[in-house]
Formats: sequence, structure tokens, C-alpha cells
Amino acid sequence: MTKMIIKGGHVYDPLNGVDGEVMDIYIKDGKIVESLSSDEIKEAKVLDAKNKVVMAGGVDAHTHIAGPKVTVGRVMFPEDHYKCVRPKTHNTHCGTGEIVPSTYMQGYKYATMGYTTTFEAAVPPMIARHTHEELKALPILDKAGYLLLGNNWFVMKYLREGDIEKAASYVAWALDATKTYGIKCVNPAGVENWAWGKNVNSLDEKNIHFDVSARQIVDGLAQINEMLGLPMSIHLHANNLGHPGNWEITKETMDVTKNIKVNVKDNIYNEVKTKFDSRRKQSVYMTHVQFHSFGGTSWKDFESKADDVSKHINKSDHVVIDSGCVPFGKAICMTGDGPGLYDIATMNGQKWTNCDVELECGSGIVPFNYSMKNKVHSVQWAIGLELLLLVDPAKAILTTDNPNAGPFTKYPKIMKWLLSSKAREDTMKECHKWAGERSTLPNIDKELSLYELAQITRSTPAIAIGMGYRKGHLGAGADADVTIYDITPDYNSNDYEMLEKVFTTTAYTIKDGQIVSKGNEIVETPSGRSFFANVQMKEEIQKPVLDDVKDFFKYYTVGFNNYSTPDEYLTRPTPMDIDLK
Amino acid sequence: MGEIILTPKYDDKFPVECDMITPDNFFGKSEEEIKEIKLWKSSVQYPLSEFFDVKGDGQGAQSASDIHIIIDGTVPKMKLIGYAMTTGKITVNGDVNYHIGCEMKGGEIEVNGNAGSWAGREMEGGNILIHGNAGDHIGGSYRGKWDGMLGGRIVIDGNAGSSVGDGLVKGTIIVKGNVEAFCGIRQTGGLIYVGGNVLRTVGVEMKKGTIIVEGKIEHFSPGFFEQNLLTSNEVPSELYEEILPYGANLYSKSYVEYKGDHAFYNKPKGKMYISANNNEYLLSCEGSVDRPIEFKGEALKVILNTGSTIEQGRIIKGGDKYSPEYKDVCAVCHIHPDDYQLLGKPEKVKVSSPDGNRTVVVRAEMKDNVQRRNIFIPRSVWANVIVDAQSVNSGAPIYKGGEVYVQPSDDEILEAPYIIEQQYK
Repeated sequence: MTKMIIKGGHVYDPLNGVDGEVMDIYIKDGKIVESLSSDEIKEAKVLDAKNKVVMAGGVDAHTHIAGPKVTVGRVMFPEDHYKCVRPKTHNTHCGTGEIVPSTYMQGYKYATMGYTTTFEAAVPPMIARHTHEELKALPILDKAGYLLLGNNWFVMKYLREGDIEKAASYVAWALDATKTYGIKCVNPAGVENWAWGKNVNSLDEKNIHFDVSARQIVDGLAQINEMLGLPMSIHLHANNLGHPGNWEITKETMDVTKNIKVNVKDNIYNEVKTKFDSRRKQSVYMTHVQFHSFGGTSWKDFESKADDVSKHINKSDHVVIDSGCVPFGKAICMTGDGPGLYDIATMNGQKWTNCDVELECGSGIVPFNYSMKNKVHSVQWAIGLELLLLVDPAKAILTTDNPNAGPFTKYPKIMKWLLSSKAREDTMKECHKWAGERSTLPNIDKELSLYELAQITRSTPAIAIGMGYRKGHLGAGADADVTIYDITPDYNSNDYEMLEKVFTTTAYTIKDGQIVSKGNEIVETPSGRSFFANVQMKEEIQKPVLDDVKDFFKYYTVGFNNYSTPDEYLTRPTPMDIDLK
Repeated sequence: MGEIILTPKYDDKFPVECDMITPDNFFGKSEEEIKEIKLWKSSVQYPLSEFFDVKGDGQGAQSASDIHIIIDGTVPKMKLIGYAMTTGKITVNGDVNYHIGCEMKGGEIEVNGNAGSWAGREMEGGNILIHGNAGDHIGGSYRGKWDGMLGGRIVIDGNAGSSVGDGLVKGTIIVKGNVEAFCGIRQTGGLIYVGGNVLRTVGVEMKKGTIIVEGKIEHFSPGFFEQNLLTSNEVPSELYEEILPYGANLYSKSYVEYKGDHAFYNKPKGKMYISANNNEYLLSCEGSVDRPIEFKGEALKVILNTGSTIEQGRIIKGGDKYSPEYKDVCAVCHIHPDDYQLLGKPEKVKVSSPDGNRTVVVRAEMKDNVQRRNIFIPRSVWANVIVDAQSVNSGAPIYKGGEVYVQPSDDEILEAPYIIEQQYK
């Protein structure tokens, strides 16, 4: 395999405490190494990174790029596709779409933006196959999926019965059957109620039939997560998404898992050492907190509560968040939160679709336009930025909940606003005055440094998903995923258009020691790894659960043997082995 | 001055994308340069001279607004002529294909012939005059898009198809002839004038804006409430100003003013002015009238609706479309008790397409949840035989609302595999 030296770049590697120092990065056989022997140096490819910035490959811990809802989103949104066309080249596929691009195009766009690892944040168990089929076509990127379990029949049944061991055993089976990576929980208890046209609005409200509350489900799943010792914590989309005044339930929800002890498998971390601890510390990963930091009681007295929420996050060591920033413009809301999206659809008055995935979960999809002239949208824009500016970068991750608040291709816009206070001021002048009046954004003059940017886009997400040993840093032993930006550390933050341009297209993106993109050009299109949790349980615990599950299949429209995702659906399958036998 | 004559010499069946034929594009170009402008035909680009003889150039004109492009002949395969043009004039002496003047911002297009669908789609300004007939979605929006025409004016001397002005935001559409279904659907502003008759669903989902219908409306939309009966003098004068200069007028003595669509909005501001003289049934208290009884020989003319049933879904999920159970719930025709009586209480009926070329025999079942002169057949192998393949530019056949004939029959009900073999061999 190839050897490479990235010479003379300004390196930003927060996990190893490197803050813009000029140094060389050595790559051998797809991994970062300490150094190369003199023979190896002779045959190594040298990449001149002088006057450029070098970071690890970007890690997107929360995006929606594959699966049925993304496909339905494309079908519902044809107008997104006929004007945005990418022609075929000798080594790339053609593609269309801006907000929900076709699968190949997503891979190319992520790579030219410097991202090399992306995690699909909502896989419905029964339709995991579809998700993997699409992920298989996703070029270049390493990928994995989180399994929707927050309103799952068996999880709720066993939790009601108080049998957490059985619930854990079911989760282990489900993760293995669907070849997914972690536990996703969307509007716990609420989506189940949506089957009866209802929702839950508080943590302790019991849902229909199952008689379990959101608190029980969150607490239960978080405990299961640590019982099994999964690589990442539960990924939690809290209740009351997008309702004014939901900031209080957001804070309460964070506290639910406060006392749960994090159980991290030490062995993998011992192999690759970083200067700072790269072990996962959180017991809950709160997602798109922007949608959950709404103050007020209605849209009339709506305001940002991001500063309170940020303070709460900063003093809670067991929490990591992603922002779900709103970059304005067209978006398409697609989530497992059926009732949440019904509320948006009634406000929007346009297209809407809704789905019940056979007793497992639900979903809703609504094309949306975040307008600068809109009062609420302007405040939402401010909330997203407030969160990333106020929360400790070791606990915050930059996302747009692609494509819910905006497509991932607009990350560079968010980076621009974070790195330049002038960019924020200028946008604030353009958008509705509520952005400034109803948030604390005008009072924040902080500008993120490149080091902090590397944290919220590399190290923090990598640690949060339990990949801190191989992703998100440039120490020896890490995967050789590297991004080289055409910018120097002494950039002028007032020239924010330049910043946006730099982060939109990297000078080079390197994946597993191979240059995959150079500027806008895709050079190579290797297949990425498919990560999944492979939990082996004791037979005597698994057996009764499996009997229950098999019996239940008389209600499903698919047979037990057709339910599981076979290995052929994965590219470069990379199991995270957990042996509980 | 600035006149460029394009004489068509293209006689193939493939459509050609002529989005480059605009005054903006021709301005400043020599005759040779115009000949070299590339046009897409399927996946290959050809020079314009492949399709047209060119006479004249864009160099003599002072500005693009002086450019007048004359397409001197019929071009039924040319699409997108005048795409996004901002100024100048295009005249076509013949028929054109889809998307003429779509997204145009200004200038003028005159068609001395017929135009295809999506003429003036999403246009923002300027004028389009079509002296013949036009297709569907005139001044409308393209697939998936919510907003249609944003400004400007379209005048059609002949008839237009379905979905005229769908999603109309601003601007005026004048159709002097008849229109079909969904005229002004999702309208949020602007004015549509229809000089002739309307088939059905006029103004559905409208929120704001105005529709004037001079002729008869075959089936009136349910979500509109009657406001006033006006004489023609009482109709707001600004509406006259919009239409009088373009050869249209309010010819009836009195109009009914409607507000809607209440079926979609709580406080809609959409207005319709319907000729009272030509739609007397709207003022009578009887409401909707049953379809007339029309026999052709033994066969009764009815409307066919199809759709999937829950029972059918249950069986398919089990996996077998060839089972007797599936045949039992799908090869069946639901008929209103009165019609059932009219047909002589048959055990089986033969359902045929209007031309009689396609027929299928199914079991007859009396059901009072279908309307008179309507039948329902579950959407399956049997129904598909007689469903009309015509799609009205929607991409899907007419599963609901097609016309068929139904008559008693003693023939055997065929098995699904046999029908498939018969129909699609």
C-alpha cells in the first residue's frame, strides 16, 4: 500500500493538543504513523501542505443520507432535482439534487468538503436492508447507522415488565440483525401514541397501551446501552421538538441519564494512544438541540433559551450535543418523529407525508423553507449558532441535522458564522430583527479558532460515537483520513466569504491514505467501511427473547428469515465486537 | 432591424431543447455564431444550423429588446423556445412543443398555431399570445413545485387542457375557449379568465386570486360558497381592465360570486365569478344531479373508479395474487342498487372500454356506497384491463373517473394469469 508524507502544513489536532504547529504527517498502509524509515521516505508520495491547514477527516455524527425516508424525500421534492445536475465523469456517477442529493452525489460532496465519516442517524429496523442498500452505493465515506428503538414494541414491553435484561437482549439481537451501530431514540413514548393521533408532552406521561413514560424509555435504553457496552451512547431526539417552551423538558431529559455509569471497552483504546483521553464520556448524546431550545409559550412570545440550555450542558459532564443549525434556505424535514412533523406540516400548509413502520417506529417528511424574513426562522438561526459558541467545544458537534435544518452542503456557511463575528453581524442585519432581539447572539463576540473548529467537526464527534481511537485525530494509529484546507492560520476573519469558500472545497481530501479529491475533482472512489455493533449474548438469555420475537413475526409483513440484513449488503464490513458470553 | 428568421428544416421524431433560442442569446451574435449555438437533442448537442436555416444576425440591433426572432414554420418537436428570456420578441408561425416561454421575465412571444403543455410555466413577466389551442399546465408549475406563474400575461385564443394556471401567484391568464380539469388549482393570486366551458374542479385549493368563467361548468367544486348574484356592471371594474384589451369580455347578464376554497382553508379569499346565465343549475336548490342513464345496446354508460381495498391488501401481503381468494375479492364490480336493477340483477357483468376493444368479465355486487352511474372495481389485474392508459400529463393512468360501459354477461370470469397472458403477450 501507499506511503505518503504531508509536508509542512499547519496541523490542528485537538486530541493530541496540536494547535496549528507546522509539522509533517506520515501515512503508511492507510494509517497515520509516527515516522517512516529512510527507504520508505524515498518511495513515499509527498504532498506539499505549506501555507495550508491540515486536520483529520471530518466526522458527521448525525446526518440522514440513506434509507426509505431519504428516498421518499427525493420523490416528494422533484423540484430540488431538475435544476441541480452533476454530469457523469470517467470515474464518477452522474447525480441530481441540492437538498437531498442522489446517493453518489452525497459521497462526492461530503468528500470535497473534507468529511470522510458519516453516520446515518435513523434506521427503522424493518427497513434496515433498504438503508444498507443505499449506503452500499455511497462512495468513499465510512458509514454506520443508528437503530430507531425509542418506540419499539419489545423495548417498551420489556421495560413495562421491568425486565431490563430481556430488553437488552432484544436490543443486542436487533442491532445484530440490522447491522447497525447504536441506539437511536426519537420522541420516546410519543411516536407510539401517534398511532392513536396523540403525542406525549412531558417526561412522566405514560403512553397508551404500553403504559411507559419517556423517562422510563430514556433511562432504560441508556442503561441497556451501558449494560451492553456499546461504542456510543444513546442518541436522543427529545420530546416536544419545535414547540415553544420546550427548553425545560430538554434540560430535564438530559438529567435522566445523569447517574448512569459509562461502560467503555478499554481494549481498543489501549491500542491507539492520544494525548488527551479519547474515550467516550457521555451517557447521552442529545441531538439537534436547536429545535429543543425554544423559550416562550407560543410563537408570539417565542425566544431563544440557548444560553440557559448551554449553561446546563456545560455543567453536565454526561452530555454531548449536536447543534442542528439553521443555515436558511430550502430544507426538508425528515424524522422518525411523526407527531412532531405533523405539527410542522399544519403550520406549513404544503406537502407532507407520514408513515407507520409496523409497530416499530414512524416517520414524517415535510419540505421546508427557512426564510430570513421569518421571525421564528431567524431566531432558530441564532439559536444554532449560540449553542456552538456557548457550549464547550468538547461537548458540541456541528450539524444541520442534514437535511432537516438545511443540507450538509451548507456546513461551510455555519463555519463562516462561527469563525467570523462580522459574518454574524451582517447576516443579522439582513434577517428578521427577532434574531437579535430574542437571542443573546448580538452579545457574543467570540470567534471560534481553527482548533475549536477541529473539535466540533472532528474530535468531539469521533469521541461521541466511540471512535476516538481511530477517527477525528492525526496521532499514530489513527485512520489516515486527512483534510487539507487552503487557508493559513493568520486568516482575516472579516473576509468571511473567503472562509465559506475554503471550507466548501478542500485542497485535498485523503481517505485511508489515498487522495480521494483534489479541489472539486474526485480523484478516487474507494468503498468506505460499514461499522456495526456485533454483540454476542449468552445463549440462555438470548433464547427466550428470540422465541418471543419469532412468535411476534406472525404480525409482521416480512418473515423472520427475510428480516435480517445479510453481510452482502455491507461494504468492507467492520464489526465492533462485544463479547458478553 | 434585428430581425432573425429561422426556417425549420427538422423532420425527425426526437424533441429538441431550444432553450438557447432567445433574443438575449442572439443579441450581438453574427449569423455564423447563431448557426453555431448548440441545442440538445436527446443526449447529444448539435449546432442550431442542423435544425434551422438562419437569415439575419443580432449585431445590427441597439439592444436585445430590438431583436425579433421569427421561426417561420411549424416546429412541433421544439421545446423550451424563449426559455427565461427577458426582452425582445419571438414569433412562431406554426405549432410548438412544451415549455414555450417558461420562466420568461419579459418580452413577447406570439404563436400562430398551437402550443404544447407548460407554455409560460413559472413565468415572471412579459406576454405570450397563442392563437391556436394549448396543452396542460399553461402558466403553471413544473413537477413538485408549489408556485406557478409569478407575473406577466398569457392569452390563448383557442382551448386549453387541464391545470391551467396551477399555483398561479400573480399575472393574468386569458383562455377564450374551453378548459378541462383543475383550472386554477392552488391559486394564490392573479386572474384566470375562461371564455368557454369548464369540465370540473375549477379553483380547487385556491387561497386568493380570481377566476372568471363565462361558459358552463360541468361539475362544480364543492368547497365554494355563494356570496352574491351580480349584474355584469357590478363585477369589479379592474377585472374588465385586465381582459378587455385582449379581446375578452364579460358577455353574460349576471354572475354568481363565489368564495373558496373552503374545503382547504378556513378563511379563503379566492373569488370566482361564474356566468349565471350559463349555469342556472347552480342557483337551483337541488344541488348535484345524478348522471343521466345512457344505454348503448345492453350496456350502461358509467364512471369507473378503482382503488386498492384492505381485504385485497391483506391477501397480497400473504404473497399470492393467483389464489382463488384474491380473484374472489378483486374480480368484482360494485354497482349502485338502482343501476343493478336497471341491468336486470345480473350475476356477472362485462365491463368494456368506450371503444369496445378491451373488456373484462367480473362478478356483479350490489352496494349502496357507490353513486348512481358509478362502479367500483378493486385495482387489480381485472380492473387494469379497462383502465384508460391516457394520463393527462400526470404520469399515471386514469384509475378514477374514466368512462366505461357495463352490461350483463354469462361469460366466464378469467383467471389472473390467463388475463395477463391475453393482454400483454
